[in-house]
Amino acid sequence: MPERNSSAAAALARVVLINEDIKQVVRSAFAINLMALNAILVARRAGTAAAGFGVVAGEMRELSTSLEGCMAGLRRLSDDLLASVTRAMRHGRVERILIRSAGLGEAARIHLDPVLQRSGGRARAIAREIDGQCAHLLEDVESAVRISRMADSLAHMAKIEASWSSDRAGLATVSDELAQSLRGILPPLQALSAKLREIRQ
Amino acid sequence: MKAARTIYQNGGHRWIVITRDPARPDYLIDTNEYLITDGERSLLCDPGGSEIFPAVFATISSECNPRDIVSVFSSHQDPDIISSLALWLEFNPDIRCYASWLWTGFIPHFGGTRETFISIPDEGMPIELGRLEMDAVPAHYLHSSGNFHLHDPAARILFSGDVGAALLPADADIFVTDFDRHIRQADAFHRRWMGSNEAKRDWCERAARLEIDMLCPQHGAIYQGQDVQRFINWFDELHVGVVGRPSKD
Repeated sequence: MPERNSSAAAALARVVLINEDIKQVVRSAFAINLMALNAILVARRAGTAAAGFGVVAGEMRELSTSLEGCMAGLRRLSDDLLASVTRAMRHGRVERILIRSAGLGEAARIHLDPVLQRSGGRARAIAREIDGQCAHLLEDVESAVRISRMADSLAHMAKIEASWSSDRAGLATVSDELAQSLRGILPPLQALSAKLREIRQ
Repeated sequence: MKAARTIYQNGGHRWIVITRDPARPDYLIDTNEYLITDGERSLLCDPGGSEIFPAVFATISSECNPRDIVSVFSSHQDPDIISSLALWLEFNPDIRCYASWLWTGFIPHFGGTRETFISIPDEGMPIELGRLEMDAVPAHYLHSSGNFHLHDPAARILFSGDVGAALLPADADIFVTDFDRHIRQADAFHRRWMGSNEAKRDWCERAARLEIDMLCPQHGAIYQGQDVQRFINWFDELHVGVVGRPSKD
């Protein structure tokens, strides 16, 4: 049973890191949203030659909003996961003390055997719950990855659009900044996904 | 494992003290638990902390059926008093916990639900166990702001929580054998932990009116016979609630 508790403690440490990954993606998504707004304004100022750039920047802004929504959902799921992992830790601690109690004498063991059986069943139920929550989180992370890949494609398109504009240098800087911010999104999402798979193991 | 010793028996009516664990780690304060039994129903006074649950449970199991425990009495909210509650409820979710109304929102952090707790009002209340009628006696501010003792008039025993406590070595006698020597080991504890001279005076007056053959604290040794009144008189004279300034006596 100590193994069960130490794995719950390891899961708790991973959930803490998952929350940090989520915060990092949310920060990037917020930055992209502002940059895309700035890109729209720059495109307007550049006139009709930058109209394509403006459309792409608008799309980018919508995607960043979707990403923020997706991360808010992930945050809620991660809070649920944190609650379950904490419950697993607490349950593990209780179970460990009950096992110690049962080892202190035949009379205690007889009284505690059915309690330990019940307790084992509950521990398995909590483990199943955690596994389900991780699976759900992984699905949402995949959605976030898809959104960020689409945003990445838009960043490329923005770069192409910028090259046709009269304010080539200005729009190129804006599209480079967008692409750079997007590059900050995939690594934490991939790290998050890896941690979820570790918890499931 | 702890030792179990019957300190009172009259037919099916028993008081058992669970005490003195030689295997207890020295970083945990030593505690006494008292099991009151009437036939096949038992009440456990201050069941103790979660770390000592194995020792308490195994000792009780070797002495009687722990399934008979229908309720626990929590003199106050401290972890050495009641943090094992979740483990007792894991064993038997039907156990009920008597505690001051002041703490029934706090103790659930150790375990239990709304249904687990029976709130004791400030003025105290009768507590029934089988055919026994006992009383939760107010002992507020001694040391907790919502504190109760349990008086069993039939056995003439007062479970006194932290009042009367002394920090003794693991091989100390279960009963006080030399009051003057013993009380020196209780002195600093009472001066520091008991917060109100007014509350202490109230308690002494209340306790003096009760018929008490044994005064059973949660730490240390049991006072019996004339030592009960000697303790009440000593406590009445003691200036408490002092730290960091010279005492008046």
